[in-house]
Amino acid sequence: MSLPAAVRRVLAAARRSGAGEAEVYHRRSRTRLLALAPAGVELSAERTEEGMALRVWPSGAGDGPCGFAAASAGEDPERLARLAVAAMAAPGMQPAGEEQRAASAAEGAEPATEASVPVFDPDLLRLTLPEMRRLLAPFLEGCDLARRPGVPWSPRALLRVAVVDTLLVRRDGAARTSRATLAAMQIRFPSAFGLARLEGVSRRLSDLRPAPLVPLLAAYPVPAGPPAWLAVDPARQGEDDLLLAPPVVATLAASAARRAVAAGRPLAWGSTAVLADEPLLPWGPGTSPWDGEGDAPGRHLLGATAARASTSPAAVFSSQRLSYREPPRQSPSNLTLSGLSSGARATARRRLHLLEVAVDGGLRVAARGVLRQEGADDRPVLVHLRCGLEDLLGEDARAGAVPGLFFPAGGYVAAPELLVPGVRLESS
Amino acid sequence: MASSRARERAEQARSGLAAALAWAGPGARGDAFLETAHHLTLERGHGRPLPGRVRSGRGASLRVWSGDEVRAAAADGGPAAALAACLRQLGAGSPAAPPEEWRGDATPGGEEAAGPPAAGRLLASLERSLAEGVPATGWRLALHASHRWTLVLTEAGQPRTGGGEWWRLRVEARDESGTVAAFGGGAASLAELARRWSADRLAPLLRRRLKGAAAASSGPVCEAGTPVVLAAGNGALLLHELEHALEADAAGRGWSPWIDDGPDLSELLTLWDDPSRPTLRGSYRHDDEGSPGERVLLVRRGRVTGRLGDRLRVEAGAAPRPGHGRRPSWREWPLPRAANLCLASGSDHPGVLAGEAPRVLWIHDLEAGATDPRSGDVSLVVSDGEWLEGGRPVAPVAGVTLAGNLIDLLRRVDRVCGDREADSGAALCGREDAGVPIGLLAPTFRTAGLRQVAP
Repeated sequence: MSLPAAVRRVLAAARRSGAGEAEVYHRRSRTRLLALAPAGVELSAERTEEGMALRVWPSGAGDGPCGFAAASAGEDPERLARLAVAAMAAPGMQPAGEEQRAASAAEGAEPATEASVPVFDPDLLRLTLPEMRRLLAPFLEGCDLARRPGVPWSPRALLRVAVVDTLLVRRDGAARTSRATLAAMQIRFPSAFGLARLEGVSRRLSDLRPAPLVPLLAAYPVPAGPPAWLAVDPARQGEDDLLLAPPVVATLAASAARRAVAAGRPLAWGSTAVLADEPLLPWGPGTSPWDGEGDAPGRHLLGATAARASTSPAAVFSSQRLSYREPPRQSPSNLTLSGLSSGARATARRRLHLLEVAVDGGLRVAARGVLRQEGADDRPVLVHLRCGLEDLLGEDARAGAVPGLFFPAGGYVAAPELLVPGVRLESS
Repeated sequence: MASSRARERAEQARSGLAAALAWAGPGARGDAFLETAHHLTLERGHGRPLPGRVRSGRGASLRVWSGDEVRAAAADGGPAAALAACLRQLGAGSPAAPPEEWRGDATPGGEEAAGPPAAGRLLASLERSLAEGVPATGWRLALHASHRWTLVLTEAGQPRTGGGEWWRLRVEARDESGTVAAFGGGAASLAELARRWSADRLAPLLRRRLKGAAAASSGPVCEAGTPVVLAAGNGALLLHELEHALEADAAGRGWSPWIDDGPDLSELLTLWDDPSRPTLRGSYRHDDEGSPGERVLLVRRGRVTGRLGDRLRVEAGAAPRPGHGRRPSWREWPLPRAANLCLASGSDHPGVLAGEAPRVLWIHDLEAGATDPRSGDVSLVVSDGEWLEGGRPVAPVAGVTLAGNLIDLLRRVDRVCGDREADSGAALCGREDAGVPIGLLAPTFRTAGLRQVAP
């Protein structure tokens, strides 16, 4: 059965089951995964997934509650429709009457291919497993830069390459298609702090280079006892430099973006930095020509100078579909932090370099780094940042290079290294 | 599922696995995994039903290995089509299977027996009752039902079927100032969920949590030396973090403090993981690799004695036996994971712990936890707690994040009570971006070494 025919069958079944309006989202993906350790390949795997989601509304419901059902390939369209209508039949919702069950606009739709922004790299799709291994090996070798005496050495690198085809037939009859590639790279290694993890994501092969990670790996400290706790309060002026690695800035930026959206307005700060969500960024891992409901997405400002923030539209995220199994929801696509003055070279006598977020799992309560002080050995430290990104982006803040890869931090984030001079580091 | 259908599925799995093993060569080992799952989610917000969601899915995976390298494939669809796709992905060759008709493999509970009408009525009734007893201006309630059926076949074993049904409830209450309090609980059926988590039981919990969350920034702060009591049941989430360090793959890579040997913990601690306890949420007869789910002694009087193992890690010598190879779905590969953590009862009484120190942080429930398996650095979010002074509650606590080092925390356990009970039935163990349900069975215990890091 061809794809449009399968979609039409579901739409027709939805109408027969009592839906007033219906929308179908079809998604097919192929993912290949390679896990590499120094001893060789640990796991090579491939996964194909195909499924469809159906949303139904009673007649005249507008944007009111709907029923949602999703199923993997091979599902009976009638059953999928029954499930969606059953989910709709919560208190206060009524299926459409017979007179309202005429063929909906969506059933007559023909999908149109739109490729207004680049998201598909055929080179990534053509990668073979041996080529994936050759691509991943330099990342694993690069981990050697972080190897330190006294730390058992067992790094692991992982590469995941996916191609995703989607088709959305909206309830107004408009149809959208897209084809996108995505590569995610992860390295994990034991460090002076514990288990370190670096991840990067891109839609194209040419971005998968270890070079952007080299400075990060080389900065890992020699273990010198358990890490000591420090506190950084940017409200208190001092003479120390704070240098934040891109993954740490990415985490802070994602957190700041969520605060801006919760407040409904962009955050304001003293520097020229601009935090934005850019769903149409060429080759961005969160880029899509259409949002999760088939509308053309737009750029949204989430943080800027006070003057600009006060006159900007409300801070929002676009609608996204992360899989066919869940309905669309508001979430970040590509978060970018740009516009900062360049020159992130720490020169103070005491410098704190934050390398990674401590204790993953979404809690992310602290950062790990190394304290460098003239005339003293480097010390691994755990840092409680009593602030958000907006508190760090004062007039003196400076940016370093932006790595080519995006960092996953509850959305994909492109962030530079960030230097915040004149802070005060305190024992905690 | 009818036994004839199960036999048919088993034969399909046997045929697929045989082809994969033949392709991998002599001496290869492997497994075939089939899954059918059905999920229902209903939500209410601010007095109105939100979009209901139903998901059905079927898929299969094949995994083969000889030596250290594992080859695996997974595909969705009916068993024959999915297994054929897996064989093609492996390169083992297989003609495309014709599409199979859906024949209702999923258990019908979420769809017909206790589907949206009954579940929706329960949520609406619960919201109305809670609104009368809790000073909140906004509500969000979610009911999630999962039904899962699995079949595993290894190169040597009999086909093993598993799965089951579970219902989870989550309630969020928001007051005028925007403060949010949340609660999560679960049960094996909708009727049991309604009985176990009635409005009468939830209302006082939510009132205390709202008060605690409102005072999160202004109340006392937990310092590293503060005595902290973890309540029976949900408080054992802290101990679950230890299990991550005892997953055999972490230990096998050197990503654990307990590689060959390791630091001892408090002598009061005896811990085991027991998948065979039927009333706890992490239970199973066979794990997702077909191995029997057996009790594993992890810590005996403070001495770490065991690891959570799966087939691969047993072959690599990183664990003595399998039985904890778990996969969140057919999409992921098995990893050593926890099931039901149990802590042996002690002899103390909770009332004694309350009054023994001038000031105690008493934690009734934890919202989340995360740990670094190598260093033992851990963080926890308290969703329900109280400050006690002189044995009496003086201030509720909610929404604060505590951090510490697991080894330090478990060395400093100085009291274990005799009031062992099960957790509220909503716990999930997250690893590699995917969760599996777990259970906790533990008494109240006391430690120190947690410091408040947020807010």
